[in-house]
Amino acid sequence: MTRLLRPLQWVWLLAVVLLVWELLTRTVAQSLFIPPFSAIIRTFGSSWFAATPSTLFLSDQFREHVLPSLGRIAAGYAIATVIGSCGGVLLGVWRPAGAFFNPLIRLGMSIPVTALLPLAIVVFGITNSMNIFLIALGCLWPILINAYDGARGIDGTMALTARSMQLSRRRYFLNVLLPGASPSIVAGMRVSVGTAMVLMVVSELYAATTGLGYYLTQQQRLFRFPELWSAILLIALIGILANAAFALLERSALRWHHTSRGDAR
Amino acid sequence: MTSEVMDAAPTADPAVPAGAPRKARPRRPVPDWALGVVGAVTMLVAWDLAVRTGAVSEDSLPYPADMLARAVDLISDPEFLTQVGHTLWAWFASLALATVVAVPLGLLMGYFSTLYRPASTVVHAARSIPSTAFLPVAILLFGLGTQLKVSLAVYAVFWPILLNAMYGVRDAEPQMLTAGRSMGWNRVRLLVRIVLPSAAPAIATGIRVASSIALIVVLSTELLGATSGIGTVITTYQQAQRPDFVYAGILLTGLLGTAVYYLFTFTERALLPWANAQRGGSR
Amino acid sequence: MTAAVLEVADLGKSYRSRKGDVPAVRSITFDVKAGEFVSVVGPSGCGKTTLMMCIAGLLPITQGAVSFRGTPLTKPRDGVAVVFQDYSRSLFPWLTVVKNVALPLKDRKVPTAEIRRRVTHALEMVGLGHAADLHPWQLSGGMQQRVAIARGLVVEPEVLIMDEPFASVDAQTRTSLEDLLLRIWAETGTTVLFVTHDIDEAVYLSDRVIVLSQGPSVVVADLPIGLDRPRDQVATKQTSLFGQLRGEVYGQVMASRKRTSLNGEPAAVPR
Repeated sequence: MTRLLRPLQWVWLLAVVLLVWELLTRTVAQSLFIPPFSAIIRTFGSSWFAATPSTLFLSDQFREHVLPSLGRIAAGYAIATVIGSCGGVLLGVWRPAGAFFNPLIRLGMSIPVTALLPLAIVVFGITNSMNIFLIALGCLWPILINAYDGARGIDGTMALTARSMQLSRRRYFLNVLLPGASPSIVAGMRVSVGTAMVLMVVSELYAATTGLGYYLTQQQRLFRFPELWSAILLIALIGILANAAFALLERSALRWHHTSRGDAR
Repeated sequence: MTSEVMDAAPTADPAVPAGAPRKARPRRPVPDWALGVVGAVTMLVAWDLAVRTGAVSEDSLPYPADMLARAVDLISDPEFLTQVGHTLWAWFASLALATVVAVPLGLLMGYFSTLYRPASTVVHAARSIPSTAFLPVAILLFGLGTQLKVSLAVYAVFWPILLNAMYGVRDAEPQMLTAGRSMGWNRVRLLVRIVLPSAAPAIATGIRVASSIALIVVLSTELLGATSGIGTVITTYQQAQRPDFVYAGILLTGLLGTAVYYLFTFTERALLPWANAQRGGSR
Repeated sequence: MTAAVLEVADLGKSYRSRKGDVPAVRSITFDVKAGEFVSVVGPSGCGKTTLMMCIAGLLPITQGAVSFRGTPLTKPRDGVAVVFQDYSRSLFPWLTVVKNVALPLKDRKVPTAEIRRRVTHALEMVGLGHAADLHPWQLSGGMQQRVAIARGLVVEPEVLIMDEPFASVDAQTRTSLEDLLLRIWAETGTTVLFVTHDIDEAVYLSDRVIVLSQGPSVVVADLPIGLDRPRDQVATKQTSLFGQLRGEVYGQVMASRKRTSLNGEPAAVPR
């Protein structure tokens, strides 16, 4: 019997929190701004889902706002990953280049990307490119720096082994450097998932005509709080799913790393 | 053994891709810092040329010299410094508030195993929501003043600090605890003398990370509509179409962020010298 | 008389530091004939590993020369393979055993079928035919080192350089690996240059034992090992000749520990 109950230990506190929320907002702390959780759930269903199997049961609103947001995140994140991992590895391995670009990287790293929002708008206008640019730029730095660390941290013996085998440069890059640096790169990618979400919201709040961020502002102006919170809930779910998917991906792709290090997590 | 090989002067950098042509004679390489300086200078020159030749319009990108001059102007402007004060105040308040609540809470949750797992779920769930998503709600609740900034920043940093405190407690070396128990220490003593000092490095990391996040969130809020702080200066100049001031402001925020980071790193090193050794190889 | 396949002449290696040049290896001279099994021993820190890396072409030398098959060797060459001590840092954990062993053959214009044949053969020689699709971390330490040996053998080298290959393995596994190595050596006829700190092992395995002095090192002794082959872990080690040779080598190592090459010329090398 206890084995069935074991998974519950993970969720009971969350359930309690939601329950308290529900009770408070229905009785003592009634507030227009923070509706009861049940109301949010109800609106969640009606906002984002529809009884149309042809669109996978997703509402028009979903397609209008969620898909663009997801598309922007995906594009920005992908760009940042490719440039960051390859660039970082190259800079890590080619020492003069790494030293040369070091000041630029440090500068880029220390500037909060949100500060570039006004400039991005000037350069790109209110377009998808602006959002993608901002997301890509923000996600770039953790991945780049981690790839750099990963490449430089390649075990000396491993590099020596590769030299003794006279591996071609291309093979060395693809079969030794990238896999060897991948644990670091993936750690950077994990950090960037959160950053991508933040920048998606920020870049869409006031500088987009579609997307979840835009939807938030829109609902705010209309004082429609259940809708506002259902959007927040959706963002939360997307974040949770993205993180979970990432964790799974990481565990399978980096199985060799965790096991060889003896991590029993 | 490997150290012998690794200590070889740059003539045998094991990280050089195989097949890279070996230099005939090992010559003294250019030191890294010099290359860095060259890189920085090249960047500035390229930037200057880009604007000078018109490749990039002067409306979007100012000359680096102008930007630096404006940065100096800003620093010597008491009005600007007041705004900096507003930003720092909001930053400090949110960090302090979050720390004071999250650290004890985190210690408790880490210490009592029954709370640890369910608490992790809640924390990870709440963490998935970027605090800026609450901006519209928060504006309606708190208006556009300091409360807005603090509330969002507190939300953003509360979870990392909490998590780090929880992890810090959980990772207390079991052998140390056994040693304490064998000396007959009761629960309170174990907590104060072993668990707390063990958890201190993790807590310090959490606060350091939080300090950067808090600054970024405060700045973002200022850029997105709050009524005081450095961010508002930047948006004002943006609307006045003075990119030289805008970039100067951005540069100064970057410097501020770096200063905050180093402040916390050095404070931690001074107060908790054993922190790095304890953290060892784990990240 | 068989020609020397490997000639090391007055090899020296210094590292540049802020205080000037720091010599790790002062002057090493010896030959290795085709098919010989030569061990190199010496006190800790005498630069055995540095020497091997130089001979393999992985470290540039600052003095002297290395010749392989009569031509100078300055970088890794076909025909010379290396087996490193730390298999956990030398085998690639993200590749399976088969892929690890096959790696040296890639980019060499060897047809896929031939690669497969050679890999299978190499794995069978080390007794790991069944472990082909496992990953290194799924194997024990001894098995991993066998994979590393298979990887060295797959290129069918003329010279196999082994840098303390059995140092990271427990004593019992070590004896079985030693015998495995002897069997492989007998079967393939490869020349083996074997570094070890274990004097018993050096005497048991080799045709010759070269003793290095304390660092910066020179050769202080080059002792022929006249034990009969095939060797046996029990029988050979019980012979009085074994004890005598062992004592001789041990004595040389002990003596060289007190004497660096800074005071006095290196001892005459008996041939």
